[in-house]
Amino acid sequence: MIARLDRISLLAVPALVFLAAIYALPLMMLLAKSFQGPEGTGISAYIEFFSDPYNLNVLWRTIRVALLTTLLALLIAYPTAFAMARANGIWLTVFLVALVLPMSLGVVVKAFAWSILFRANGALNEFMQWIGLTSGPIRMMFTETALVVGAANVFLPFMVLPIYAVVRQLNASLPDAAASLGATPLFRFTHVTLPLTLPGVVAGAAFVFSLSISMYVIPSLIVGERQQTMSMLIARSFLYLRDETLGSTISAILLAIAVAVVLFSSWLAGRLGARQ
Amino acid sequence: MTVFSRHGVTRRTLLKSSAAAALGTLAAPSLLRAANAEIVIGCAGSHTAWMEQIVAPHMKSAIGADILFEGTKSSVNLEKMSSNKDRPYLSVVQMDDPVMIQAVEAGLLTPITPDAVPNMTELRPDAVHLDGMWCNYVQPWAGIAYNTDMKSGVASWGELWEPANKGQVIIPSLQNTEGVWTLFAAAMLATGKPFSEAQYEVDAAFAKLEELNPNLLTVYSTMSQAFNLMEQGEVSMLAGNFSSYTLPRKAEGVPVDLAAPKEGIFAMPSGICLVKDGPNPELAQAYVNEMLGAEMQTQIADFATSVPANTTVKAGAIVPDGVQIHAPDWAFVAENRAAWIDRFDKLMAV
Amino acid sequence: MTNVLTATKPPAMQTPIERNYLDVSGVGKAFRGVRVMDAMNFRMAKGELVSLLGPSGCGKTTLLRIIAGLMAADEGAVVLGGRNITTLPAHKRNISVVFQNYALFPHLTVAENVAFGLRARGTAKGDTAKPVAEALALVRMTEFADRPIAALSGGQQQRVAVARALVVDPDLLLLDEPFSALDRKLRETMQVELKAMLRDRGITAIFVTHDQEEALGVSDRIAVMNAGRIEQFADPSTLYARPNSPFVMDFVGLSTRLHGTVTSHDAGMITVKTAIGDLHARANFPVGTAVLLGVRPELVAPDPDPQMNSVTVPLRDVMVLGSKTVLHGVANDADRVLCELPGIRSGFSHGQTATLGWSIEDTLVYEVAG
Repeated sequence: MIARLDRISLLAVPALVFLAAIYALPLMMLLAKSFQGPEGTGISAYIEFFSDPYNLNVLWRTIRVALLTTLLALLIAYPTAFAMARANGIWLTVFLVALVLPMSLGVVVKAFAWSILFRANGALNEFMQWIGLTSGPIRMMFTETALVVGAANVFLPFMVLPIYAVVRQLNASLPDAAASLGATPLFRFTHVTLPLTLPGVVAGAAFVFSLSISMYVIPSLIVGERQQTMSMLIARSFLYLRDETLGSTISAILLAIAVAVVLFSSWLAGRLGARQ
Repeated sequence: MTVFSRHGVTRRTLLKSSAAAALGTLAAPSLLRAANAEIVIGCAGSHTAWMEQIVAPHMKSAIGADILFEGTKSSVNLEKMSSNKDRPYLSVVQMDDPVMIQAVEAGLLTPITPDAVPNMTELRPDAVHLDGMWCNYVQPWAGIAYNTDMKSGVASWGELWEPANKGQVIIPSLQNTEGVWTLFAAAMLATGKPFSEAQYEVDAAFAKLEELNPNLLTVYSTMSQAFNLMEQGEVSMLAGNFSSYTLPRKAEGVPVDLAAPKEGIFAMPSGICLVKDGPNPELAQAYVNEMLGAEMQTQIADFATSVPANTTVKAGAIVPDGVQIHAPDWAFVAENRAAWIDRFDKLMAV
Repeated sequence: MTNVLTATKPPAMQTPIERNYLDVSGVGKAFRGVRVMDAMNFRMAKGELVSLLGPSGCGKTTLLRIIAGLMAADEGAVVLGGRNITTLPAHKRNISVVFQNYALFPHLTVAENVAFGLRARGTAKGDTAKPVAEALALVRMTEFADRPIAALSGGQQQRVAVARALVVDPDLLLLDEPFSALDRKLRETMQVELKAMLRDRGITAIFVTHDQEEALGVSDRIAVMNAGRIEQFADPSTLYARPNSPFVMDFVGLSTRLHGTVTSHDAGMITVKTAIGDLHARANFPVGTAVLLGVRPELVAPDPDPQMNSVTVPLRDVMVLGSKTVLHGVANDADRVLCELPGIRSGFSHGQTATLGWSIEDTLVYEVAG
């Protein structure tokens, strides 16, 4: 076996060692802790977690926010990816810079910038009153809507880039072929463009969902402590409640969701890609 | 890791302490132990300005050490100490009293002695805790910060609850040390008892706190963000804020001020301690001695508008006349804090 | 699929609409302000197989895309079977296209690809099986029906593309460089096969190609295009024997090329002075006209009769190609004499001088800029 091992595959060794040491090992230790309560080993910590309506509320909020964030990012990213695939030269550069540059800006800076936009006497409220859409300021800060909008903004590149990569490889004559075979624009989209770009959508959605479900800084800045998410519960457990079992338990639940999403999406991407 | 990354560290500190910042959260970096003339100080994010401008240059000339510091929450400092218990990399930590108690209980501290730190003999008696396990150095006072364009003052803690102030209030989370002031104010208002008794009426305090919900825009854990919202006029009041933060901002011309409500104000419990088995113990002791000495106390108290603990120093914050300064039973707080945080989060959730 | 009975009628029996089945008139197109096509006129009859032949950039693909509706013309009209389709979107034209890279849908199987046009036209899923099976049988791909596209060779992909285009019974079939991705041997087989299939089913088709051999092999008529216009539109033998311009002469086959000046003109016969002697041709050009003379290589032979055009040139190359032997004589820098002899011919060698000749009637002559 060793003799037949592809030498190129040895290039993966540094990454594997790195991941094993920095990711897998501590994670296993964390998981082990979640099964060690004060009354010995067992799943009592999980039962306790799920029997508290507050925790269920936080869990549901976390998933809901992640789903809405993914959906919003997808709605914005999908057409953007097509525009980018059409663009070239200076315009492509403009797109990429516009997409990547904000990633170098910390979330804290962004959160302060959003508060200028979203606060009661902020730009957005003033504008809506000026055009007569609203008669007084609407509360936009510290709402779940603001969180979804903010998170979608931060994670947008992770949705755009995988879709862009797929769209750019799309054979441009396929929609033409479909049209010449009598397919209406809608039929072309549903039967050619969409199925062929779906692997990119799945990858992007998996990225954004995983990032959204585990985000910590963004919700703590945008919605504050009154609308906690799973990550905020984890931080609270370790840092303030000093309850490692609880923290490990919540981490394990969050991890399970993330693993499920990644496995499901790679299965889906494999199924979609298998025929290509 | 994100937990730590959002606490403001300036570029200069970041560069200076990059090794500590990169490795500090993982394990004790041996390379720091090897560098003799360096010590790593854990402090609060709000200390950054004076640590950088006053303390670091002073220490370089006074004790010949380079000061690397990591500014974060007290609770995070505690977590750093306890997770590196076997190989500490912090020598000195500056954090709040309730967390000090937890650190003592976890056996993470070593006592400060007059032999090694002569300046501790000049401190107010109440500034030395548990036979020198930690000392208070300079103490800001806490009240209610408000936007002077929107209000002319805050006469009573009760104003936070007034229906006219719907959506106009931000309070700290109980995760933050300054979060307990709102809880104790609620206890006083709910029971009508003096503070010394009211501070134990926790159920009444939480019931009163729940009534605050309609007036809250949010509950913060990052103070700078909440303070910014008050400066911008998104809210008119920020409960529990303290002199070392509000008053320098006021001096810069920002339309904010710190009110001392008639029920009383609170002394922020800023402590300094020696980490048990921390690197460079002699330098660490010398650092603490300087921090408790007249020169540093004067400069920091002036810079951060705080009350010095060294009795020979006449400087710093002017404490409002005729308003009582409360100091709570920190042992009681430390004992119940985790349960309170859980209760608080569920109560204030929307 | 088209019934055999509707296959092409002889031209004499066609109605006027059938004779002008596809009528492209006055079509122009500009890209970013650059005119690539001006007042293009192009007509073909029902059942004809026509090639658009020209170098890349000549506008042949632009014309194909305008006919297919994949690109809008700036002006002019496209009429198909008496119906003005100028502004009709591609999916309503019933014109199938076989693309250069076949453009098969990679996420669908062979059968699903072939069924695509039927499904797009609203045929129920269950009703596509029979026509799809017939179309796959036609291109001999029945056993590949359930294969993914990626598992097919280039030739197989081309068959699927043709089946997919034909299954919808198109009014017109457009093929964009359909053989260019195939190796030479397969290309020739596929050309013969496809031509027979289209002819049998009476399909009206346009091939776009840059390969003159392919155009000569598959088409009833060839439109040679250059710089956005049609230079000559004729059947293959006319095009080859009587190209109407030096461009067509050079693009369709090889020729002897000799530049010269008319020195005398008498009764439809001119004498041209070239670098390698005086030659004659049937034409009416005044004395002093700069002309280019040409002759197809297989019309040139050694040891000419005295009344023929005759030149003596050094041989730069002698290529023995098995079925033929080609002699390449040098006149001067720009000019050459090509002679193609059947079979393997010995007695010629590189560097040797040969006397070659051809009939005056076979001499092509074009006026050129002096």
